[in-house]
Amino acid sequence: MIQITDLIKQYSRNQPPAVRNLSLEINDGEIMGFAGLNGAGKTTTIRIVCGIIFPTGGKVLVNGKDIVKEKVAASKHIGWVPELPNFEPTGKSVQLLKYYAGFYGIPPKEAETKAETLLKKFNIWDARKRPLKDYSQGMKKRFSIAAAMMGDPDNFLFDETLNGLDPEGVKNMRDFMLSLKKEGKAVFLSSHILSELENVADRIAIIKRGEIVKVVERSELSNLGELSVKIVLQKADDNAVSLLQQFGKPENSGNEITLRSLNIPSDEVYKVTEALFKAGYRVISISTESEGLEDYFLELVGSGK
Amino acid sequence: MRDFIYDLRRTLTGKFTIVMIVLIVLATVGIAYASVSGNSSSTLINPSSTAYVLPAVYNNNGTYKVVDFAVNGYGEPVNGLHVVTWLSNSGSDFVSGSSKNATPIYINGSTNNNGYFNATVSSKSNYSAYYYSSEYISDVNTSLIYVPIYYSNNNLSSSIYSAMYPNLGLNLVNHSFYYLLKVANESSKIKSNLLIYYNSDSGKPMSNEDIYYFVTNATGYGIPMPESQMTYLRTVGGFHSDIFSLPLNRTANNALIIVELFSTPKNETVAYAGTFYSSSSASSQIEGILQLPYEFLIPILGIFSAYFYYGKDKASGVLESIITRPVTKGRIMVSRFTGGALSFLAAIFIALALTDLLVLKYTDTALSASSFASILLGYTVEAIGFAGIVYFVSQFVKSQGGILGIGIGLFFVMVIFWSMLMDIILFEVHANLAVKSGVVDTIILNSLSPAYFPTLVLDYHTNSYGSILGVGSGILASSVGITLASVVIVGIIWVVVPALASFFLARSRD
Repeated sequence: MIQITDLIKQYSRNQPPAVRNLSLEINDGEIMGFAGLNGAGKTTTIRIVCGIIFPTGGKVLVNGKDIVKEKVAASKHIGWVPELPNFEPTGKSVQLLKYYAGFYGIPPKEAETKAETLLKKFNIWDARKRPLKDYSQGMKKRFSIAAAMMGDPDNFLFDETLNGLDPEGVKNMRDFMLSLKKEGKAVFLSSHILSELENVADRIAIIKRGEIVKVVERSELSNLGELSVKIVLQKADDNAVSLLQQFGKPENSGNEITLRSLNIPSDEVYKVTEALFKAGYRVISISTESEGLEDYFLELVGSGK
Repeated sequence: MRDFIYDLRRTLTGKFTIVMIVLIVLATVGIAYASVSGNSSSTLINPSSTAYVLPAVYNNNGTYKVVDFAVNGYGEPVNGLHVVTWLSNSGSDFVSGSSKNATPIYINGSTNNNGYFNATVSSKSNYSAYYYSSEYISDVNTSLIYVPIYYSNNNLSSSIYSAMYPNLGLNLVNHSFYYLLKVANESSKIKSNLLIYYNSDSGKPMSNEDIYYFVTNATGYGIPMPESQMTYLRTVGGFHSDIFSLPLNRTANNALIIVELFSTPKNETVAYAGTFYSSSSASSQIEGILQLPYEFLIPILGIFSAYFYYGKDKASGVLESIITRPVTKGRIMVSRFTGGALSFLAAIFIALALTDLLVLKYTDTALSASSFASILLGYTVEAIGFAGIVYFVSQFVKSQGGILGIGIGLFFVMVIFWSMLMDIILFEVHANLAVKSGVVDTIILNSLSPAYFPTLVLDYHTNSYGSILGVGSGILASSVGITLASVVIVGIIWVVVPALASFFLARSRD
């Protein structure tokens, strides 16, 4: 479990904070998506949670241990998978995993066995004799996941890990995250690919200019944002548009009218059909639509909003 | 603490550590071997490329018989050496009654397979001096180095002695010549052998004579010494030329060794030579051996160790993949710094110990514990000091090239140009280096670079300021503030301050 409370990070006095008063909780067995535009503060937040950089204010608890004051104890429960993994270029996978394992107090023989298991699991065992600099980006990411799993942590942080992966890689990653969730691990996933967040995340935190502007529950995902009514008439005219103004803001396009900013509840949309019918219009179809995550996200964090 | 020890152990067994230790040990031992062994070339002239001429001249009623014997630096006969000589009586009043201004007789030729050049000339003139070129060196024109030997016509007397370069002594006894010559030892550049060469008018080999020797550190002594004050070595005879070694131990280093031949049974000195057995102590030998490689190698390795152990990983982001493990930034920095420091200590210790053993083998003399410790600590602190500065720089500079560039810049400024820069500063402030305060200012300014620390330790150890290869400047180190306390303080500053500053920055900076 990761608890972030009132997190602040200011890199320079001359610049606004990269993260301000950010509070989040990522529970065990939960996948928390983390969405925001470039420079919104996603990576900064994750690097603070991992203990790579220090917060200017606030607190991060990992399994109840403070990442600043109890770094060693807290880091035992953290697995970090960065966007661009950076390892010793001349290092070999097994040796490096064994080195990392030493920090968790894993004996060398056990570490070697574990390294072999993980490298086979992520399909890079055959490349174990090659230096890491010769790995492809996808292989580096898979090695990075193996490295994150060496200490068998309870919490995983994926920072834009899906970037640059092919569709198969994305699917494997999605399956892997879901398997972590099943094991009761807490997963914090930052990504630009909102559809993927929609697919796997239990909640999605949306960050704008260092602040959380909204945490969307999975149950809300299907009903995000503004409701609109799409009406197709046999013959639409200006009178029909005038008629519909009593229910909201109609927009006419041929025989199709989209009614936005409804001033009636969603369960009273039938009144629209009723009014059109009484005025003598033949209604071909009528349907209600809600905004998707992307629209909702852009509405929340888009420029000027 | 476990994480610290774990990373420390990995640093100590890392590739760079092994390369560094091997480099320091090989460089040191290689140079040491070349300096002290007899089988390798060095900056000194190889003894086999050197020849000495040992002349004998006999006058029998106007017939002058010249016998020149040429040996190389090991005392072995030299074949084919062109000898240029002449008989003369001009320019010398050494022998009373000699006729002056006689035309010199030039006698030139080459030595035969046994190293001899023989010539006979007749003249009515009375020649009293024989000029010859004493030393020949391959590829070097030394033909102008002429040394005369003098003799009294028909009266070769035991009272005529001549000590000539290179450390030879001769005595003319009844138409015979004895030479005691220091020659090189083929298995050691530092030990010497003794060549005894005998030549007589009759051509007979040397009769039995007693070799005596005496070791002294005294500056005042009289030669020839009486047999009673000397140590008997052995009785030798029946040869024209032979080589002997003296049973000397390390106490003979830097001492004067006097060797004399006494005739048997009359116990009269027939020849003597004063020669140095070893030119210097192990301390100055090793100091000389280490000076060239360590002056550049240790600081550059100190800088590179900090770059490879820490700066490179920090700037490239590799360190981040480690920091996310159960370890703190401060401990990673300290473990790597400590690992580097211990690696230097181990490398210099091993290199110094092997060098000491080599010097012991070839000179029978070893470093004292205090000399060993001062050399070891001096260079280790220098390496740690430079590493510490680069660790400090790594906390601010974010690129690998930047860290390496600053490191190399530090090398040029703080190693190569430092004393020059300090001299410029002292000159600009009109410091008087001839007075004590000026010397103290120089020491303080030079101490601002870790490169000066080995010199500081050496000066303290010898209590001589600015000594080079055992030759002091005449200023007592203690008189210009080089004391145990000041050396320890400077050492602690270079070991602790950059490292501690880096540690606190590593703990608190991103």
